[in-house]
Amino acid sequence: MPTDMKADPGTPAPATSDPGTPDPGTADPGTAEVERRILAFVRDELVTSGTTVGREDDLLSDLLDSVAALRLGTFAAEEFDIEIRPADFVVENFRTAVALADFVLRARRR
Amino acid sequence: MTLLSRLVDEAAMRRPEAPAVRCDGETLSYGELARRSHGLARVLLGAGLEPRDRVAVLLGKGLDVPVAFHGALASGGALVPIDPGSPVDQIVRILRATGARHLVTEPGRRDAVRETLASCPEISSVVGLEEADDLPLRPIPWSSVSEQATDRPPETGTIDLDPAYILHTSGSTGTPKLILHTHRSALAFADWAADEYSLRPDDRLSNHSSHHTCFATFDFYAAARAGAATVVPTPATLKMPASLAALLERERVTVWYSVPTALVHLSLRGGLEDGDLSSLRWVLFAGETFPAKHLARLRRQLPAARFSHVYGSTEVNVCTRYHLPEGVEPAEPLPIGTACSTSATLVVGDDLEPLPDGETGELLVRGSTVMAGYWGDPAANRRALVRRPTAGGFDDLYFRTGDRVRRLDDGNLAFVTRADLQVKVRGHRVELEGVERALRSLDPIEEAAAIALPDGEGSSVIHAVVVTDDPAASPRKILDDLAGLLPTYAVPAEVVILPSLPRTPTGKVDRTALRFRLLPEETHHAH
Repeated sequence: MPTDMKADPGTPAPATSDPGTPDPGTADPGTAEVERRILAFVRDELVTSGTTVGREDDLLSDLLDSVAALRLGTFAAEEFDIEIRPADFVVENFRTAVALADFVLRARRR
Repeated sequence: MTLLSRLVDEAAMRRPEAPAVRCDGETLSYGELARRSHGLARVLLGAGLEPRDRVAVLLGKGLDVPVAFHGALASGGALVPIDPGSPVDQIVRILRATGARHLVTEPGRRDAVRETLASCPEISSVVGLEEADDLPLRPIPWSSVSEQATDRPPETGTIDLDPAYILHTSGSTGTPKLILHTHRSALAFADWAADEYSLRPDDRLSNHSSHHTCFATFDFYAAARAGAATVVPTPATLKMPASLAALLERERVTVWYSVPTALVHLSLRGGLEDGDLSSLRWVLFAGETFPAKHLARLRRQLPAARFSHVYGSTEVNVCTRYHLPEGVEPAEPLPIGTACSTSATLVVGDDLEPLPDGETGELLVRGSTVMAGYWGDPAANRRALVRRPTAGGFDDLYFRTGDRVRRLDDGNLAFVTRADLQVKVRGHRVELEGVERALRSLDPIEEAAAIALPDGEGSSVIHAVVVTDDPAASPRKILDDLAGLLPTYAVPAEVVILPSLPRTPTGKVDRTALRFRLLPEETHHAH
């Protein structure tokens, strides 16, 4: 793996590794559905067709450029009816589909 | 000091413990950078490197990049940094065109290197991969570099007129241009930059652009000249404005250099009002127009920083600069300023003779930061590097920038247009940048690009592409608004709203890609 694929130790790990958050595999169907729609948008709109993208795949290091990352934010805001503030555009919220789904659900509650 | 490779050695002698590069929470000190780069130089020499051999470097962002750069220089070779985002056939083109025999890379790129080597039998040594049977040669692992690390650089007999590095352009048009700088021209730029921006050992320069671009020569070599640190954000951080702003604050970055786009994103979505970026004392930008409304907002968000509009190209480094006057709204468009102490400029007509002040003509530049020439392309050198007789029977050598400029009354130069961005529409001369400026002055528009497409009748028709997230914006409304700002012939025939503009690796609008996207379908398949 190239060095730029390493997780950034300066930032908190994605929330799924946080024991306080339920495992998305067994959580309410909302989480799985949010992840599914995020991944569908990434595959259909943001990456070269045919690229495989998994729910734990690092979206930011290689797959998306900065503009695609912003489009993903715009999509999430509209699709899930949430407000995304400038301070939300951080690596830990967008690193993977799992992380973004977790952020979306948190943003819906605030 | 006369060699670029000595920058790190001298910084290491003065303050071996001082940080040279920081990336992803890790630090490489000047002492360690010097030792490791000497280790790489010895590995390359042991692998048969001859003076002036090209050493290609294919690495993602990280602490190995400065080791590879300075190691290639210290070996007496010429560094060829390759865009890490290149597809294999682009890598092959660059290796072949430069005649590189050595490649420095990393384990994560093994598949690309294997494919590359199949087309490049000239490559005789690969550093950075573990031994295995899948390659046509026996690679040398990075651990050998550590084993050979030493304080003393190898004796190479390199002089300041020898090649230091060959940079390549993006090559979206096919063959990339290969631009050769000597130790002397590269060092002249590092010296100028360190002096102009009063760089000090406690400065921290950010590295926004990819390390294969001319922007990075400022981030890495000017920093080394001053013994300052370079802070390299990870690719993920670069894509998230709030993470980037947090990194700049955490690392107390003092000097930033990039294209305006990166700063626009930071200004719009970095949450700068809530942070403390007061350590940032210089913001340099180049390569494109900085839309006035975004620049004004950014200056309000960063009241402690001075702003510098620098002008140049990979061929000349930086040749003019304009430091924005403090507390005053600058003129629009921003001047490119006056010549650096390393450069002399001339504004000439089509006959290459100087024009009176105030007239628009092509900008010629001579100076110590100008490239030696395009690698392996004598015809391009004859077009781009022209001689003009001077006193004593000597000639001055000027680089033709291809940019059209005008001297303003206050002595500053104003950029008018790229020669190739000036088009004729129904007999009228139109500057595409002027159209873009008018588009960007409209409130909802974040970014804009105008391109000219042939109308099939010998003239051009202007198309515009804009980026906006205002749901109320429509092409019709934009065209109506433009009608009050531009003469009728300069109003685009069509405006398309896109989610983003295609960009080259440095972040400039990729006009070739745009043109391709806007051409009617059938034209794509015309050949």
